[in-house]
This record gives sequence, C-alpha cells and structure tokens, in this order.
Amino acid sequence: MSTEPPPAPAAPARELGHRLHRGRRANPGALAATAPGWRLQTQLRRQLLLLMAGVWLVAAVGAGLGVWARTDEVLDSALKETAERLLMLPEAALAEPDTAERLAMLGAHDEFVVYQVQDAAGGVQLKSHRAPTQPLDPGAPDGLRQAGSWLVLSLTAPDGRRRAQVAETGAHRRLVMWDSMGWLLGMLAALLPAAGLGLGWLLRRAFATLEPPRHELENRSLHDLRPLTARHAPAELQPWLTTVNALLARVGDLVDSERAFAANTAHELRTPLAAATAQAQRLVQASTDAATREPAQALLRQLDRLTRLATRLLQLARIESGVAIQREPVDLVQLAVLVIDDFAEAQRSGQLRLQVQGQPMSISGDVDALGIALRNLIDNALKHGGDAATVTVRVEGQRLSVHDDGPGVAPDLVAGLVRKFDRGAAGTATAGSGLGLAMVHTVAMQSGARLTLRSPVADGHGFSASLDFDPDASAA
Amino acid sequence: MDLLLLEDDADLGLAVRDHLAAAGHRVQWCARVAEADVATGWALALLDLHLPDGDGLGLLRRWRAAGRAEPVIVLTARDQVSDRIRGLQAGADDYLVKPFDLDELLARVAAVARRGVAPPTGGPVNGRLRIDANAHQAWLGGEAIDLTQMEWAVLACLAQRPGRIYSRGEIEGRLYGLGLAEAASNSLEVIISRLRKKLGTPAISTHRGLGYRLEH
Repeated sequence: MSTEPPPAPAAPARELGHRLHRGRRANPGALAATAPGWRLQTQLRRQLLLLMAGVWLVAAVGAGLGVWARTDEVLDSALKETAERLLMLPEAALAEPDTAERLAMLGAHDEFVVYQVQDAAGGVQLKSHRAPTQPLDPGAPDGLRQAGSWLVLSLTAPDGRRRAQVAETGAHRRLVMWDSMGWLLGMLAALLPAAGLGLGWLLRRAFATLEPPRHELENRSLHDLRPLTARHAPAELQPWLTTVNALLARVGDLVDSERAFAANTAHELRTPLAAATAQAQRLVQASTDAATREPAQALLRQLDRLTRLATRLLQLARIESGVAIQREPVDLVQLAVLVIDDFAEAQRSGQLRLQVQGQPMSISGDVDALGIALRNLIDNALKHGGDAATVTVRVEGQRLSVHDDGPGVAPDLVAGLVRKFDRGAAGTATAGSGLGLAMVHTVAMQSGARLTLRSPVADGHGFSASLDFDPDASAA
Repeated sequence: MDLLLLEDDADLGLAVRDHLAAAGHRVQWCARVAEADVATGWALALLDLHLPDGDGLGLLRRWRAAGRAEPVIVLTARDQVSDRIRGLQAGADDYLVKPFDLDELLARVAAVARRGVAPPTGGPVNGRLRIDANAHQAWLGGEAIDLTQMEWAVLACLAQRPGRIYSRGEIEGRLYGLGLAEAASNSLEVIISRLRKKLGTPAISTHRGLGYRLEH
C-alpha cells in the first residue's frame, strides 16, 4: 500500500474547475488576438514604396541640380564662343548690313540666342534678326550678367573698337532645365505604380512561405500535440516555430500529468473504499442479530454512497478538464460490452441488455470519456426508469443510445435540460442526475457527437438518450 | 478451488481471503509481485495491478508469454475503459473494479473457473467440435478436419479455454513458442479466416482491440 495520504476529494475537482475557467476566459481573448488590426504585408509595401519614392526624388533633384550646373557651363561657354567668333569677323562682314535677300537664305527660324556687334560708341553694327536694335546691355562690363529678361554675355575686342553682346532669354534656359527635371520626375511618376505592383507581388510571395506552418496548426485537431514540422519554413520563422513546439510539448506534458493525476487519485480513493466496503460486507455476513446487522448495513449503504460520490468526482475531474481527451478509433460494440460488464447485477437480472443492429462502425473519440458518458446514461436509466423498467443499450452504426421504458420525463423538462446545455450553464450548477447528463453533454461536445434526448419515447413513457458520431476518418 | 490472491492492502486482502475461504476456496495471499511470481499450486489468480514492487499487469504478461494459461481475474482501482482493454489484452479473463461486492467476486470466480476448464483430450470443445491435443487432430460433427500446422496451433490455443478471449499477442506468442515464428501480424487474420471456413464462420468471434475467441 502506498504510504501517501489520500488527497482531499474536493480539492482536485476544484483545482481542475479553476483551470477550466481560466481556459474558458482565455479563449475569446485568443480569438480576438488572431483577428489582425493591421497587415504587416500592407504596411511593409506602403513603407517600402514611400522609401523608394523618397530616395528616387532626392536622386532626381540631385541629378537635376548637377545637370543644371553642367548645362549652364556648356551654354555659357557657347555664348562666349559665339561672342569671340563675332569679334573675329572681318570688317567687310560688318560693313554690309544684312540684306533682305541674305536674310531670306536662312529661312524663317526660331532663335534661342541673339547677338549684337557694337562699335566703340555703342552703335549696333550687326545683329541677329531677332535681336533688338538698341544695345542689349549698354555699358555692361565684360562677362555674363542679367539684363532684363536677357542673360547677356559682353565681350570687348582687345583693341577696344568692337564689342560683342550675345544673349539668351532666361526663360529659355529655365525651360531647358525644367524639361530635363520633368523627364526625371515623369519617369518616377510613371514607374512608381509598376514598382508598387512588383513590390506587392514580391511581398505576397515572401509572406506565402509563412503559410504552411500556420495552415498545419489551423487544420489540426484539438488533440494533436505533435510538434510542427519546420520544413520549407524560412529561418526567420524557426524561433517562432521552436516556441510553438515548446508550448505544444508543455501542453502535452500537462495532459500526461493530468492523466497520471486522475489515475493516481482514483487509486488513492478507491483502495481504502474497497477495503472498507469489503470489511463492512464481512461484518454484515458475520452479524447474527439485527442489532449488529442493521448498523453494518447502514455502514455499507454509506460506503456505497461515498463510492458513487468519489466516482462522480473523478469522472468530473476527467471530463471537465477536457485535457485527457484523445481522438482514436473506438469500437462502439466493444465499448458497450466493457461498460455493461460493470453493471453485472442489472445484466444478470435481465434489466440491462445490449442490442447491436446493423454493421457497427468504428468512430473517432476518447474511449475513456465515452465510457464515462455511457456509464452515466446507464446509471440514469436504471435510477430513473425504476425497478420494473428495462434498459437497452443499442449500437446502430455510428449511433450509441440508451433507452428505458420507465415513466420517462415530461417533454418540457427534456427541453429545459437541452436549453441548459445550450447555454453551457449545466456544467457545475446542476446536481443529481442533471450532472450526469451534463457530463454526457460535455463528452459529446468534446467528441464532436450529437446528443439527442427524447421523452416520452412511445405510449407516453420511456426516456432515450442517443449519441450520433461522425465516422472515424482514419478507419478504412 | 486453489486461488492465488495478490493484494497489498491488508484490510482488503483479509476480507477477500476470508470471504473466499468461507465459500470453500483455498487462498494463497501475497502482497508482493515477487511472491506471487514464485507461488505454486493455484488454479486461478486474483491480481491487483498497483503494487509496491511492480505492476500486476506486467506479471500477467510474463505469465502469458511463458505459456501459463491459468485463468486470471484482475482486481483494480483503475476504472477506465482503456484500463480494462489493457487488462484483457494482457491476458486477463475478467476485470473487476474496486470497490467490488464480495459476492460478485465469488460469482466471477465461479464463472471464470467454469469456462476455464480445458476440454479433456479428445473431448468435445463445443457442440460439434472435438479435438485431440496429442494427436493434433480435430473433428467437426464427427468428421476429421484437415488443418495445417499453423491453423492447428491457433485452434489449440483458442481451444484451451473456449469462451475466453485470446489477444493477438498471446496467440502470436504461442506460434513463436512453437517455432512458427514467420507468423507475420497480418497472417494471423488469414489463419483465422481459413479456420472459420473449415469450422463455420460463427465458431471464432473477433473482438476488435482485444483478440479472438472460440465460441462455446
């Protein structure tokens, strides 16, 4: 015999109850956390696009300024070149003013650059056809300066007899600059949507690699605590997967210790009860007179009550915690045979019998939880059906049902029970037989089965409870 | 009847022993697995599972693996269906959950002992089937059946105690013990189905997850 004192019976159940409530509260929160308030992918795309546009813009402005400076240099040197060329013209070219014929040779054309050749007094000797007749910038020193809308380059010949002024409108030069800037910015504006689309596609592809582990976790049954496979997952996801797997392992350990706890508690409680019951039975049989027999029988009755209470507490701890629930193939006929075996007396008296109809199918569930559910249904039927009632456990394909032909329950009471289960309020509030049915209901929910209660069944009496299961997918 | 009781709780053991003795059984009571393992001269064992020096189920498995076929009733505080399945798969003939009724225990002992009687050599196993263990011969309704060595071994195993479920492991262990080691796990199903053809389908029933049983 183990030397450990048996634990107080109420403590484990209460503890498990607390754990359960924590679990229930945690669930809606967990669901809310999974609903995304913002998408990393969208945010990343927006930020990357903004960054790209910003960098592009800075680059364009920088390039524009560079081009501006170089273009200024080139255009200035062109003006200077023109002025030098004009100063080198022979006198004869200046003596003959441009005739209409000579001008006609050039044809109509636009002029970006105008020039004048002036004599020492400032009189205009020669000018391009768009140049004004008055000096462009009278008295200007040699060099480049702004005069009105003109940018004028003045150059005096070394002998001082001639002066050339070559000018360009400031507007034209700005136009050239803006034109080149316009090209740069236009390209940016045109390509930005394309860049956005490309970025979106790349990000979608990158984020798709995060999907397989999530999918795996999502499509998993509640009872599958195997670690997630890290195949095809990027290295960035590995720490996350490791954490999830560690969590799964911890949950698995909890499940195991919960099971061990249930088994140990059962042993610790049942062993002394068995000894006391056996001794009390010996006492009843050994007593020869009513004075000793009656107290011994009372003792036995109380021990029976205590046993039922302990059994119920252990069942509650197991069912309500829900952590021990597994999904494995369960043979309903085998389950029924093994559970009915516990009701030896009712079976021998013919009060309890098993019917198998059709080809029984394997279903998916936890054999122990289903055993507790069936035991409770049989208990209820035997208790409420009365001594004269016959209780039938029936297996039909994927349906497990318990009928009795006792007085049954008022239909509105059945409806009330079902409503209570629907509200989820039946868990701990109900006492007596309601608790048994509440446990059956919990097991049904955990196993994905539908619990149907009917009363009266026929001729105004009888009660039936049936569990409809989905076929076990793993069994061929 | 000579009974072996393995129970470490003194009060329970005492009550069980006294009750069985009062019903005319002779009881050897051990409180340790090691004691029970060396006990002799018993015809039916009552085993507790949770013992200070080991697991009663392990002892039962060892016995069955060694070919000991005496009937065994498991007395345990483990009340789950899966525990019961494990017990029966280990080769238990019956399973009683603590606390139990002492008269119920007596009834189960009687029931298991009754079906535990091996058919006398050459005697009838059930209504129509008769086997001679020494001659390795079986008759169905007076007519000799032609059996292969493997089929004979399986039938002889099941016929030790008609009505008891023999787990796959027990039967395969028997085949292994006879040197018929090539009995791969799915070939047992083939042998059973051939036996059913020769003996009639209802003769052997399958108990999914538990094993096979020769019907009375």
